[in-house]
Amino acid sequence: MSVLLVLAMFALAILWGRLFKREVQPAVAVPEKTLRPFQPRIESRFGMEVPRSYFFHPCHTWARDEGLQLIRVGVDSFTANLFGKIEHIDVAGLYGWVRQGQKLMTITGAGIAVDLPSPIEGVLTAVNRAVLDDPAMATADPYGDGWVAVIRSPSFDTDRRNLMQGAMVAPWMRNSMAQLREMCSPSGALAQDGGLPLPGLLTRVSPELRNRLIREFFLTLATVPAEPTSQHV
Amino acid sequence: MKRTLHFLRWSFWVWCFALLMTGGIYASYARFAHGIDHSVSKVFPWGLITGLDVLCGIAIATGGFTVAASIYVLNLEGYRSVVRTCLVTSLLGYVVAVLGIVSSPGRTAIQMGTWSSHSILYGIAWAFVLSGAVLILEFAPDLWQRFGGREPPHWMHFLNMPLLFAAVVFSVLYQTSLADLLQSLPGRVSPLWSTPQLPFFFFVSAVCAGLAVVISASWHVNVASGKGLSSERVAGLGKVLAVLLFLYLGIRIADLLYRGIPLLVWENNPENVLLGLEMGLILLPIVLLMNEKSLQNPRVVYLCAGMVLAGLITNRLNTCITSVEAAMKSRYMPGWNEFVVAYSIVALGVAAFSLMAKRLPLFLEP
Repeated sequence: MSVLLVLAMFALAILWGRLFKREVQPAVAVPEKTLRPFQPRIESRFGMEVPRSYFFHPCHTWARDEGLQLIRVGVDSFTANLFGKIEHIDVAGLYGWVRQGQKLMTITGAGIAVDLPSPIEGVLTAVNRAVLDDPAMATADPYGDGWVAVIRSPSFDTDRRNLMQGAMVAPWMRNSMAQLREMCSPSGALAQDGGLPLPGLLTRVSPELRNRLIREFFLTLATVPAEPTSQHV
Repeated sequence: MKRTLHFLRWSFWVWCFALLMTGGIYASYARFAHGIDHSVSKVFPWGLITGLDVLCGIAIATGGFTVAASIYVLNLEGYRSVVRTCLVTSLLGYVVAVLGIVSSPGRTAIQMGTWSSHSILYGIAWAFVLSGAVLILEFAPDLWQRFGGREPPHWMHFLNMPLLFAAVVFSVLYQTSLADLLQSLPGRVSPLWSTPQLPFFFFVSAVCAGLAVVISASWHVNVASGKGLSSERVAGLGKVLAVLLFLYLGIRIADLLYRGIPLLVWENNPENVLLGLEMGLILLPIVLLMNEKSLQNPRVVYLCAGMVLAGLITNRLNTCITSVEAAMKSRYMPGWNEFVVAYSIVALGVAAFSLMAKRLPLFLEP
């Protein structure tokens, strides 16, 4: 029976550790020495802003390699433009493991909440506290100061094969725009030039069309936003 | 004052570690100074320290070396990042085993310094030294470049491979000689565990344990710092683990049936319950890991690895304690100092691994 006693002691220790696990530390930015400040190089293609050296997930989140397996992620300008005004951003637990395509953040705006996936797999090592406090930064500068999180990804070289990159980005963005135009054309929610959507398009369309847009571009369903929590992460 | 009381803010695990270490040092002193008062006797030659620290430590060390060597031999470049973890766990497995041996007065490591090839300790001493050398050579290129060297010298790579294979040979030999030692008391060990195939079973289960340790280490490192294996690699290791467990369970059941020990006759005695537990801790991970969906979930794979390690502990303790209990119709209950010493050695190994995982790039490509 001493065998059972030994196993029970190990099980008890593990159970105790799980039950009284320390609360997750508040989100902090990683030190400057490992994550250097950056300035995105934006190019204009087909009348759209396309950042160089960024990788895009089909659900409109981006990833940028910062070296040392650190990948900065955020939402793209298409998402920012659709929402117009993002009211709240919730990010998955700090130091938790996220897989490519798994929910990384929930953005709330236009009366709905939408889950956005992680463009890569890895561990969430930092969250941009500034953008959580002021979500408008994500719409004002989605590729720069509006970054959302940093993921340490040992498998980025594999994961990036599933992402839009280089010369693929501009045509993909143009296709997204064309698709959006086609879906919204009867509602007249596009700008007079018929090209770029009006900022905050999701607030201007009917709930049915809004749900269709969310399903089409983010491959998920819109939900009613929950009460914002005081702890972001 | 604030600074003086800072230690009160230690986490639960640090407190556990500190208490275990204090207890372990005191119990070791008491054992050496005032003699052994534990339950190990002529009836029970192998107690908790031998079962938990020596047998499990050696198993994990052998498993780690074998997995590392297999990655080199099969040229599995994708799994190259696992090698360092295997080597670190092997070395720590030996540290735990050596401390377990040293903690048993009467079997101290006096023979480790002699050149007696008939000594059981002779093998472990060599395996221990070689594992340390292989580990140092594995990390040497990193240190070389950190201290200003450009290209690591060729001899570092050249020496690493033969040393690794020598370490594998020694650890496998030692593992099998331990199994032979347990076989050396005919009639005093239950036939449920005593079999001529025991060295082979020890080896296969050790390889399973080596893989399980790597998977669980990767999980903890990922949760702590994100420097662990990707879920793709974890799933790959999970697949290999499932195959090895299946092989182990198959030959184990075949051996019992071949020796005419009925599996389906249920007798309500402790050894049958513990054998059932041991088999269950192998069967459940096989079922889970054979399912593609659960294999893709790193949490499930980690859970399976935990079950495999629990199965290893159950098997080794069953082999050296329960089997003797069953054959001698007697009961063994470890004394408090055996418990404290055995757990403090395990805690030391776990703490050393945590420290190394924090300080060294274990899972990164070298």
